[in-house]
Amino acid sequence: MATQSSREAWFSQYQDLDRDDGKQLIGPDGFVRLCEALKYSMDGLEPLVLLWKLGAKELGTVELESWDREVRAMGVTDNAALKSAVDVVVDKFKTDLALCKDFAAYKDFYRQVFLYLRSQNQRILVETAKTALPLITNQHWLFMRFVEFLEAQGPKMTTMTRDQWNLLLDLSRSVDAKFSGYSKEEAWPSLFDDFYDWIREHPAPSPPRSIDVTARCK
Amino acid sequence: MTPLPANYKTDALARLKSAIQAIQQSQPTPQGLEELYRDCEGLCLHKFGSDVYAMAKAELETYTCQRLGEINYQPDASVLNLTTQFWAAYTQQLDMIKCVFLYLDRTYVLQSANVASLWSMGLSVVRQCLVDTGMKSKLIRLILGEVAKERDGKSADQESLLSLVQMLVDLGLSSQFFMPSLIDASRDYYARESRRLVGSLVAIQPAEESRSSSNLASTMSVPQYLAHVKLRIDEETQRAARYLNTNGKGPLLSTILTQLIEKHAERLLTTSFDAMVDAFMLADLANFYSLLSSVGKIESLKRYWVMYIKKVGLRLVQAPELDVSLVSELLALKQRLDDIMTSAFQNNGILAHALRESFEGFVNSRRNKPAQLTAKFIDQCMRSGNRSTTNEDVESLLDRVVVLFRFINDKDLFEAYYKRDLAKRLLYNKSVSIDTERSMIQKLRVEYGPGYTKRLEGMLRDMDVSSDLEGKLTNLQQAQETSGIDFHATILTQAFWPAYEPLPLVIPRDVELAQEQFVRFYNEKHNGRKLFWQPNLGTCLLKVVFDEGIKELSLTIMQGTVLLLFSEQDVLSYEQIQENTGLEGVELTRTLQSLACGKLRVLTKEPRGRDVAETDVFTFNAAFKSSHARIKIGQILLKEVENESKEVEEHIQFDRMYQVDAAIVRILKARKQADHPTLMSELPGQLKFNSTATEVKERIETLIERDYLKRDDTDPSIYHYLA
Repeated sequence: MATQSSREAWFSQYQDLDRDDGKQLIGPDGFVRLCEALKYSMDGLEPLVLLWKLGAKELGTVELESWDREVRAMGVTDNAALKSAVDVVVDKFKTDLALCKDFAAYKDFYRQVFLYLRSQNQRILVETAKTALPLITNQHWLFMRFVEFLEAQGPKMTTMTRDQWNLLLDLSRSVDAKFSGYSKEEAWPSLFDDFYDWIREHPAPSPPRSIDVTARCK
Repeated sequence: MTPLPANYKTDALARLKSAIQAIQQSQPTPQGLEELYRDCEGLCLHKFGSDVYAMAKAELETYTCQRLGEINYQPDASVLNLTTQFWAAYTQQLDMIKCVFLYLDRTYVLQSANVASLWSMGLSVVRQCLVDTGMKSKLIRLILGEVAKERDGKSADQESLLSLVQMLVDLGLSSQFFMPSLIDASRDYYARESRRLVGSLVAIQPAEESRSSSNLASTMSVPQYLAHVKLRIDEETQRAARYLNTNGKGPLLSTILTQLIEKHAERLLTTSFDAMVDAFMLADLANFYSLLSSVGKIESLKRYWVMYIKKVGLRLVQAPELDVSLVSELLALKQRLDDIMTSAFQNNGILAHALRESFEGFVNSRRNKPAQLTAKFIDQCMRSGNRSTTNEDVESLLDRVVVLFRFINDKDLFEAYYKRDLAKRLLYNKSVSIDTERSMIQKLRVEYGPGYTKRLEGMLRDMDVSSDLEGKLTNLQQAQETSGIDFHATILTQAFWPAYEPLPLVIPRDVELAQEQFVRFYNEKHNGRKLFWQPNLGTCLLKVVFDEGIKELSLTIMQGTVLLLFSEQDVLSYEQIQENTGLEGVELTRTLQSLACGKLRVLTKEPRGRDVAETDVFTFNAAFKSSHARIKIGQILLKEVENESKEVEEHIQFDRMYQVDAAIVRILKARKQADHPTLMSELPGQLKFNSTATEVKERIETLIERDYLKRDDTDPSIYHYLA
């Protein structure tokens, strides 16, 4: 029988106890231990999904309130159950972006990842993005090409904006490998116009991994 | 009623019959007209009208068929003539016969249904006969043959044709048979002719003198062809007037025009339109226009008009090497095009609109340059020393330039350049006349509103105020002790004038005193205003003693300051000059170059040469010689102009960015939300200049980043205003 106190007890195993401000939260250290307990590699997708499922607002930080709320919503009472729940979501997210049944959830997760990994309020380091994007999109072809594009931009581009990050997802659902149907007259960020030009000059050597995403998602 | 004699009817009929025959033989009738009339009357009264009628009809038929039959056997060459003669005679006879049988017409005919008057009956007899013998078709064919002959330039018997056509009309054979055949024949004839002529079109020869359109000319140019068409139309109009009634003229002419012009409009335009415009062939273009207009092909003309203008215009605008004369070329082009519009195209609305649009298109195809060059052109017009034109000429030239100005989209850039040039003219007193300056600003104001020109007007006002102030100060100076310098200051309101870099110049003490005195005087009048001196804008007049004598040198303040150092010492090094004047770098170099390395060397430089190095040493050139007593030494300005232009453009670019931002926020604030296309379509209305889609998108992105707006969660092409 899950109770408030049992949830709190569970929470307190990972809680950051060295705090002066009296806030009750799991800090980065505790979070790492939790991931170890769940047998999640810190390089993988799982920790990010876990954070998101636990309603975290910042990287590696889970407040008691959201822990409580989310853990109850998931209906889990211990690590094993938590791991199962998270694994299910991770699997879903890994199955391409054909996560159409729950696309709203994925989109929420995708956008949240920016907020975790950003370096300034509205910006993220390109270096970070280059690692994160393939990871959270399971190497979706569009994001892979975007990473190539970022490489080609060289040192002049050090950050990208939140707007650009967010809209990449929309872009991945709107164009095919040749970017047919893309128009510079539309509302896409101007970086994407450059991306478009670059794509035209560097056509992909092999067909994209996921085909006809848009059709499946309609 | 008296009973009739037994053979009355037969006798009377016989008498009437022989009368008819006599008339037809052109013989006098056995009986007189009175008697015959009474015969007819009598027969009608006794209800024998139908017999009379039948008899008359039979006689007419016999006669007609016989005569026409004879004619039919004749060779074609004479058929028309014979028919004409026949018809003339017949109608005359019928007229007489009608007189004889007048009573019949007025009683029996009127009282009986389906019985035509004698005249009508007479005509229908002929008609029927013509049809039966096949002569109708033959006649039509022969008539058309004559028309074709005329068209080929040979002569035809016009009298005969006229009466024959009239005959066909009277017989009711015209609209149903003759006219359609005529139209068909005309169509074929002109289809062939136009195919032949258009198929062999040649280029326009430089001196096209022969306007004679020989119909058999083997090759023509387009203007010649058009003249030929015009001739044809005139011919046909005359022919139609001669022997066709008005109902026929319309369809006939339009058929001909279709063949000659409409079908070949594209070909004609493609072949020579551009050449004709280039060669400014007004009369031929007018011809072209009116012909195309009559077949409704103005849209095609418009297309070529637009292509031409864009082609010529783009070539002018896109070639940097032509920049020097670009504005005058554009003005000349506009003038030519306007002349064509008035003289050839009858100021057609569609073409005028197309002209404006195309002009605007190519003028703005190269960003920034047209604005800059137009401003420069005006500057040259406004400068004194421009002796070639009178005041009126300048006015009308400026009017035309203002028209050009309308097409330029970068109006804010133009204002910036204009302002800069105006400043120079005002400060160095180079304007040809202040009235002209005012008039030009007025023109700009009319075009673009007072907000646009208020700074320029402010500049002019400053000059006026300053000279007023001058007057007061001079009076004051006379009453006070002066420092021995004739000192003049001009006050510029900072907001109106271009931005000037402050210059750290150490001016001579005397000048400083004069400046301070001025500031005191000014502050008495206008308390609370701060004055900043701009020595880089000022000039001075120095009296310098050379070996040859005293000369007055007109110099910039910087030059003057440097030169004054030499009043104490004859030789100074670069460094010393630098230290004493506070000038350095490019400014110092330029100033020294102008004094020591140009044509007029009041200083000499060791080592010699054009370039100034920091190790150089300068000596006062007492041996300087010149035949003039007053000499102006100009600065070397070339590079400055280029950099200035860049600065002006950069400044405008920044300015524009903020304007775009403000406009976007304004639009979204009013609407709370808008999708991308709506925003893009509203922006031009808010901005004075063109901006590209990319530039706008970049501004939108920075506004998103700064939390002025955000994208919609579901549809990223919709923006929401964030309060």
